[in-house]
Amino acid sequence: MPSFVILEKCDGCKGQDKTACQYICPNDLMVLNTETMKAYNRDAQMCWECYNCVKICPQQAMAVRGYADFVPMGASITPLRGTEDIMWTVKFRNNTLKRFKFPIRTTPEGSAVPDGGYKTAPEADDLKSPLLFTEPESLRVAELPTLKK
Amino acid sequence: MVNNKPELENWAPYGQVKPVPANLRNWLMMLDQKEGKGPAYMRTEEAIQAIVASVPDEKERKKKLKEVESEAWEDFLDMTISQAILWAGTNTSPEEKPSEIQACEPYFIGSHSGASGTWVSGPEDLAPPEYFWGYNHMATVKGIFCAGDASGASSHKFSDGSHAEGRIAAKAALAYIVDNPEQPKVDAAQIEKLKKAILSPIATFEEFSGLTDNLDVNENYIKPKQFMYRLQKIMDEYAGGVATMFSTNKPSLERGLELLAFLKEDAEKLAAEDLHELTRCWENVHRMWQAEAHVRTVLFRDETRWPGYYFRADAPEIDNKNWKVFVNCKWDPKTDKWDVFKRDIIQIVD
Repeated sequence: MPSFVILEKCDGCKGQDKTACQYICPNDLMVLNTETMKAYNRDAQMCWECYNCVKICPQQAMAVRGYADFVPMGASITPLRGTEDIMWTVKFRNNTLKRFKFPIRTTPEGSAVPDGGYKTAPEADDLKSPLLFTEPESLRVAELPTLKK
Repeated sequence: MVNNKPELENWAPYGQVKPVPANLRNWLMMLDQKEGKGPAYMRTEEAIQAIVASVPDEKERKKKLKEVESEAWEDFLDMTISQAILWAGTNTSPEEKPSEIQACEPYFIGSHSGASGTWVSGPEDLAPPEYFWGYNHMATVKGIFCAGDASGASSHKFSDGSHAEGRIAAKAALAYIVDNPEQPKVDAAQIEKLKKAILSPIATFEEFSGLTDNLDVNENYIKPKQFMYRLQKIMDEYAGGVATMFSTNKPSLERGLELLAFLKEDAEKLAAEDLHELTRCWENVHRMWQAEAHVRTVLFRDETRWPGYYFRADAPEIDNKNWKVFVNCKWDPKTDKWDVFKRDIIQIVD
């Protein structure tokens, strides 16, 4: 059912200690068959269809088929992840094609500044202070709102 | 939704809020369905056309339609891709066709959009003494800190709220560690006992799997998947699941507890073929505890506060006089006893 490996495309991540799909699956489902050097989903029924494996696979060897007990056959949804955008191709059962592109980040990789340019108040260094890194400036207030007791 | 609108008054003041809370929207739909008036649809085509119709220029209107259509798909492609597969599989373009909806089996999502979760300390500067015990976001178990879905708090915190809460909890946990630097004394025998218990499903499988023709069918053990289905069935039928249209009552909950007690005994007989199944065994044991805490809480709260999430058919009204409170429960490992009790809601802002 849900996620499956396109055997022709899978190269087992060329014998690294873990395949990309094994690394990313949040439900511990993907396994490498060390004899065939192809990955497989050991319990497809437990797949949440999160698409993490589909998005991360460097060979585009992972795909998802909708749950067979309620989704009519013939549709597919294919993501293609770039460095800044994700491109989705949606194919309907009746072959209608739709393409969508959504940004996945607004700063180039490696360029994000941890404090975003906001100063942290010195009191924040005190572990007992409720102020966090970049606060209160990043909250756009002069001081942390609190109850006047 | 339209015909059942007067029902919202029965759930005032929550029913008078705009937008109508998610559980009450569910509830209005369920009232129809209980009368056999299904299926229910989300009128995406009407909503999208209404947005687009407000644009006077034709060219701009087409552009707007593309934009709204794209947003509709993005909602699902960002977080629930399987819903997008269902649209594609049923040839559903949301701008042309309504999208069928139906409440699914209930699940525990902490304070994502319910109000359940671990009872944690509030912040020192805001919390009244009843809500503060030393470290922000520390559970009533010393040294355990919770955030996100694990902590019971705001019922709509979602991802960014959980992220902020994680930062708060992490800082408080560091303060706790600095204040308590001594290594905890743990009995080595206790550790060995725990290790043995954790690995026992593997030992059970090794001991008995050779006795029958089928690795999943054995009188001496239960596999985690069968255990999961059994737990799911108990919760579905006795604790307000789909089978009863999200409705339960005292006798059902008590029967559910009886069946959960058998399940808890059988948890000792879980068997795992490999490490993956061992993980599955333990996640289901944890679910079982969560389920029991839930059933006991629903049983204790003698009213219906969240119709549409669950309905106590034998206490079908909201009862603010007695039940405008939090309900907590705890289990004492020494006596194996549960304690379910009320916690006051203390209003700290007007």
